[in-house]
Amino acid sequence: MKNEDRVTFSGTQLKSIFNPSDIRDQNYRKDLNFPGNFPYTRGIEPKTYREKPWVIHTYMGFGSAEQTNQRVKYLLNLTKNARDVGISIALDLPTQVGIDPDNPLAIGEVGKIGVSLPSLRDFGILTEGVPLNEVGYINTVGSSIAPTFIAWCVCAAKLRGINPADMRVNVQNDVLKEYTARGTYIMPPEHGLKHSCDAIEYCSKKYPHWIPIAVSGYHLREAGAMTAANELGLAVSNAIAYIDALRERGLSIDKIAPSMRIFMGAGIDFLEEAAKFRATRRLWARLIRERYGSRNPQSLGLRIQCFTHGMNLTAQQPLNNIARVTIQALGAILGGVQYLHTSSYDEAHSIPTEESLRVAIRTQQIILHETSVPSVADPLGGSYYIEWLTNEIEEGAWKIVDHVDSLGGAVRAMEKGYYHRLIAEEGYRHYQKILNKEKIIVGMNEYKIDEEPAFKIFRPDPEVERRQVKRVKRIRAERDKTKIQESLGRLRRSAERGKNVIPAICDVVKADGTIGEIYQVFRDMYGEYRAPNVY
Amino acid sequence: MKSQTSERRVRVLLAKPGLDGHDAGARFVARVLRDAGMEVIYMGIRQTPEQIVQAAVQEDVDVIGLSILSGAHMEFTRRILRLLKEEHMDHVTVLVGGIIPSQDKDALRKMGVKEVFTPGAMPNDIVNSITRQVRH
Repeated sequence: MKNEDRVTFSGTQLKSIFNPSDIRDQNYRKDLNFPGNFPYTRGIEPKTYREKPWVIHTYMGFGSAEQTNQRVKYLLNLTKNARDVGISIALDLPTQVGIDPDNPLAIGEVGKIGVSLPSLRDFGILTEGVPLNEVGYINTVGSSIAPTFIAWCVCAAKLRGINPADMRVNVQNDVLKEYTARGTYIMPPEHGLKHSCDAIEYCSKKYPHWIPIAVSGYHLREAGAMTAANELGLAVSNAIAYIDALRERGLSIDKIAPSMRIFMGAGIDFLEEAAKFRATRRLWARLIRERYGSRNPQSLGLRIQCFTHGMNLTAQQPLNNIARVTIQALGAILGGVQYLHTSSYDEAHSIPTEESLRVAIRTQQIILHETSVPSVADPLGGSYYIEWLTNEIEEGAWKIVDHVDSLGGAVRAMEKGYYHRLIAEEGYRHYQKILNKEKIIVGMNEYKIDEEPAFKIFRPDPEVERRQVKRVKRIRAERDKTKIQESLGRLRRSAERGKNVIPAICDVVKADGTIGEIYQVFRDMYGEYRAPNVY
Repeated sequence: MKSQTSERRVRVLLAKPGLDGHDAGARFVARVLRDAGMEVIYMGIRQTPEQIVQAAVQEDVDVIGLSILSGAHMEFTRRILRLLKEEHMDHVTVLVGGIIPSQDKDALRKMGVKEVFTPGAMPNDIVNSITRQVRH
């Protein structure tokens, strides 16, 4: 690589040394300030992790509710205190797109990449014996079905005599990224947006300490929006769409923003990533103050949820991924995130085995206990390079935000194909660079070995589908037919009147209605979305 | 873009069967094949085996490329190959790309899949494989 071609992962040109002159215009109080103070560049808590360590998250779920329940209990045994752990439930694809296990479209997919959860009964089995009111967070992605996941949480807690207010629930619920990056959408974007906003509105009124949305840059980047600035800019543009839709319902910014999180990737170029998390907090604080006029620290200080990037991991020589995840996790902690998920080294092959899951969690515990990184707030702050890079990323992200604004906001920009084109173009350029070895990926395009040794991968139980089909049919046969028909009718009327549909969904799930039945109501009303195929 | 020769350009149908929405890989391959001078029909995500085979018949394609990352590759491929047979379309070359455990690669080949591409496969290998298969 020639010297002038030295760039960050995002392609930002780098000098070999950065000096005070590179951050000449920086003003400490205005641009950095102390942790816990606007614009929160250096962190949201005055003493960061001394006051509150980050929450160690892990994403798991496969097969049936019974099997995932066992895995959840295994995970809880790996940590000392249930409060320190977030349990992220991976849902299988039929559940994510709101169809039942016996739908012909679900053939082959039931319980494969997550747990099959068609009903409240399944959710009850999944959480059986799990101290719902003690674990740090119960979490899921469920971007298209968040109101139903919330209804399950509320109803399952009540059935067990637990007050839902004593639980902490976190749904990613960012449907907008599904239309451009992740693909588990159901209805067209404007109706999907309304459905996601129902979840945010419901929680902000009833359970304000729950987290009803984490706007995601992660998936946009994995899909192809490769630069840190684009990841941040597109995610914030989506956040603006939710905020504006909720303000139209009459919610104030200080009811909305405190319950929002951002969900970012932690990539391999960890200094750039640490700068990205700093830029993320500053951009957010400025946006919420300047555009929406908030002065509330709870609205201005953005809490960052973070997941190590799968796109940096390789299928080849999988144990190398342990080193990669360690570097990624370190960048996240140096950047001051509040929640971290570390991927398992077998990520490119299958969902984790118990062993690979343990290594992922231990990686975080090593950073937490064996290094002093978490002892000092914003340890990289003041570095000429990091401050310069933080400025670059923030500036690049504002350009995206302004451009999406000029197109009429996120939903319009999607309809005009802006997101799809950016993701396709930038992703293609990235893979070209790997192919022509402009980017070296160890073990993949260089340092290859001839024979990849076989290693243990996790295989979901092939019998799950048959059992889940049987169970959902049994549930439908056993339940009170009048009650279910009435509750589905109520759901339809509630949607037609533009009301918040969560109370009506609660009635359906209590009547043993299934996820497929709930989303058939919406499919009948609004049709199913088809994404444009841009490549 | 006109082809240099009078030969018909190779027609490739690419699709993601099932419910998985991660199509960065499929979109990349679509572009690589297009740049190699092939006619590419990318159906996108969430396609059923029936839709895929119907499109293959209508578009009279030479090759079907299936991108599957969800672990459901055995089920989908089996159904697609069976439907192709029923439509007397079993001359069409079927290729599979995605996260396929090595044991399943052999099973897919036995089933009738011509080639299976897993992470690390080079775009040129895919282009060459298609050119080779279609010429035969």
